[in-house]
Amino acid sequence: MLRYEQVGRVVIATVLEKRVDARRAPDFKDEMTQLIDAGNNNVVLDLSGVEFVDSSGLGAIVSCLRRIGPRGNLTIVGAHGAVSRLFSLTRMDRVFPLHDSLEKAMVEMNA
Amino acid sequence: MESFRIVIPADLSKVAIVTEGIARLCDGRFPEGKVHDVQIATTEALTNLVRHGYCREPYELIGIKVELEAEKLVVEIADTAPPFDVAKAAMASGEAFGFDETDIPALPESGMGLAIIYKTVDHIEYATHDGQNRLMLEKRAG
Repeated sequence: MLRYEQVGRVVIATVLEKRVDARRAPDFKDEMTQLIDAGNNNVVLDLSGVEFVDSSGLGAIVSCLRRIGPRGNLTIVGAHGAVSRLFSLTRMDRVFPLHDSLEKAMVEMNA
Repeated sequence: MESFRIVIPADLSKVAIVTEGIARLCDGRFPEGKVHDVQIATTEALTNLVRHGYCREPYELIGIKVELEAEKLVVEIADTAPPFDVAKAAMASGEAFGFDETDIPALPESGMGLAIIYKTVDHIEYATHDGQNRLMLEKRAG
């Protein structure tokens, strides 16, 4: 459910599913875990094509950030509509800055 | 008033059918951000029901009614799972978003569902009668 692109030391992981919910969160978490465990600790998660994330999906994203820990960073690009609303109402937008463009996300990752 | 009713099996793969139905019913006739809130709350309620209420009975059915009026959007979810103490659960989830955003290892990965429901809708009712539970989620337009 993910497509990867390496740009320098950053991996852009694009979610190809329209939903990251309780049904799909385990697969998402497994794929992201493999990516992180392969040594990719600076990840831009592109949610541009995602229309809905529930608390299970959000928990899986948080799990990825915790797995990366102090070794790197996980930032979000393209969250919109119900997806960005979930981040804001849970205060997770304070944990994950929500970028509206890949360029801005890359600037943060390379700062 | 416009509405739709649907019955789904207690299966996580069917939850999206309901949220997509809410979007179609409300298309352009209810504030978009408030429709998102109802979709989020309904998803959390159905997921909780499938995971916890019907965890031993995956083939049970869930009845859903969605009503759109000019001033409010109402979702009713009917099930026959073991009832739960909404007030107690709400109290337990009250601090779900009180985390320190700088303390990454302590960020919550679960337990946010009920707190999300309470934060996204204006009014909640839960009642059990003759073995049937009825959860009502109401979102006002204003």
